[in-house]
Amino acid sequence: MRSETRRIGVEYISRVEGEGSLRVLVRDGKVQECEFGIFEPPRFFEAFMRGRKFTEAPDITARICGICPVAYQMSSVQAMEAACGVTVDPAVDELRTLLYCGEWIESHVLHMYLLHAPDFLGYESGIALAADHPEEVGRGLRLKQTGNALVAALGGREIHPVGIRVGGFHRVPTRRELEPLIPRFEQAREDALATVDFVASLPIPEAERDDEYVALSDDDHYAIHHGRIRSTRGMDIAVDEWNDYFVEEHVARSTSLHSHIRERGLYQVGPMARFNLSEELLRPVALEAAHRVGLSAPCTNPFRSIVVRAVETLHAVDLALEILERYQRPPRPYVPVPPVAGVGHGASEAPRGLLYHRYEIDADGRVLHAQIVPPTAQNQGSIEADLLHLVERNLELTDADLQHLLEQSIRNYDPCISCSVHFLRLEVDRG
Amino acid sequence: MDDGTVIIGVGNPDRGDDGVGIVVAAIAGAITGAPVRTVNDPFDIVDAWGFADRAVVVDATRGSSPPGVITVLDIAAGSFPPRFSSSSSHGLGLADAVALGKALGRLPRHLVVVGVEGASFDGFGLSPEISAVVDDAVGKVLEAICDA
Repeated sequence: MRSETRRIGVEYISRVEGEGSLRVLVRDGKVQECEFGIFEPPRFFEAFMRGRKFTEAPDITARICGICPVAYQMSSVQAMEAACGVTVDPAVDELRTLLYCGEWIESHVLHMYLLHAPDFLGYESGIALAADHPEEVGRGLRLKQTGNALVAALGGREIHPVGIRVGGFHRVPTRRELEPLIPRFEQAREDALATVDFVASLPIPEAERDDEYVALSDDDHYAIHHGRIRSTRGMDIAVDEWNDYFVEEHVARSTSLHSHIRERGLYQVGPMARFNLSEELLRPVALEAAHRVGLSAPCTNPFRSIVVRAVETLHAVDLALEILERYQRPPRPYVPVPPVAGVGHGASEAPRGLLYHRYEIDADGRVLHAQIVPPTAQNQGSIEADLLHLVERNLELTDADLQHLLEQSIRNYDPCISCSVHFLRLEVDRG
Repeated sequence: MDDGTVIIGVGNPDRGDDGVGIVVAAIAGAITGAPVRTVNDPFDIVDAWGFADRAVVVDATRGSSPPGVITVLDIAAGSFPPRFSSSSSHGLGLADAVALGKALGRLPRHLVVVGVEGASFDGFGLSPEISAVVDDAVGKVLEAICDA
């Protein structure tokens, strides 16, 4: 038999946040290498945090990502509040939920309409998609702007909001300030419903993964920023037990750490994990829409993640609308948080999955140690496993078609590479 | 000034010269009385000009010419020149927003972009080099409105 070598190399994966690459080597019909490389420069945020005041954590870590700054703010303030033994007022906590809904909407809608949907319909970009589907993309723009407006109303601006502080918010809006958002969210609910139908109508490739899905899970709510860490294989731990169960390790091809569960291996975080663990806690309108389009847990086809994102968008819009309609300005924007020496853990559900923070602070509130585990780092192993699975089963495709399928597969995870690269340890050996 | 004209300032005032678009738009709006919209996320630009007949977008640029150089582009006539790169720190830049508006059939009939090449994109406020060209950039916005 003639020896044959196929190489597929994508030096710069488009329509993802940050800089990643893909390398596949097939020799004589067998996959020799399949690597999702991350070459975005490391950003050292954990090191930046050392020596800073504990109150600076939300503003500094928010800079890790322009797409999901609220997630970084939320996980960091929760960790600091836990370290100092402070609980925020329930009304302020609900306002945080509202803010987080805005971020889910912004991020999910951007990904669905402009980054991922083009894959399913054979367009090279969201702009090319918009030319042929102006109604759908116009709807996406409108939805995204509604999410932006909510984040701006609570956070001061739509990108890198500055409203959150340890203990609550710097300022909470009046009811009158938020009221104009209500009709926009009523329209957004219609748009989100239509979005579920739109993405469910896309030609979705068949694929199955036997993965362990990990997410925050709460007994009463579809978890966003409260709950325990649970998995579809029985893990049920408190957030502060993270390091007892999860390990991060460096691999040569990536400036981002890879995560796995101790003595178990790969796992997956993100919308599918949340959905598989908490489907029944979705808002009724979202659950009904999911079932209407044939989506129910367990969902193990990564290409259906776009449908889960649409269902979560509807959930976030509907939840935000309810909070807006009954909103009364909290009596105080924040509770004072005097520093206490100790360790605090925080976790919340960024749009693309579980985001864990751990800080050790001294009695003056100076950060001694910081650990930040973003979702894309946790998903890297699963992304590569998907790629390997797809290459092995689709070797008959041309290189161009195979490359398209693999890039589409990477975008199933909505990877945020910029987030994932800020924690590579730098060791200098000075002899 | 009729209601069909809007001035849009794009940028982030907490990111050095990235805020020049917002400063210039505010001054030009105060002089002309035209409505001014401030946009932080380029995604919002299509919404910001809405269905206006004429729009002037002011934004910082980076890497396309020496600091302080002002570039005026009449967009409605054609596509965005690739050399005119936006200084947005996010996935979608001004060029993408314009392309998206065009694809959606939502470009103003007259759309002019005034770009000011920034010197520094760190810290709060404009650098001295860019502060010195704000009046010139305002003049370009006024010209764009009058010529439209």
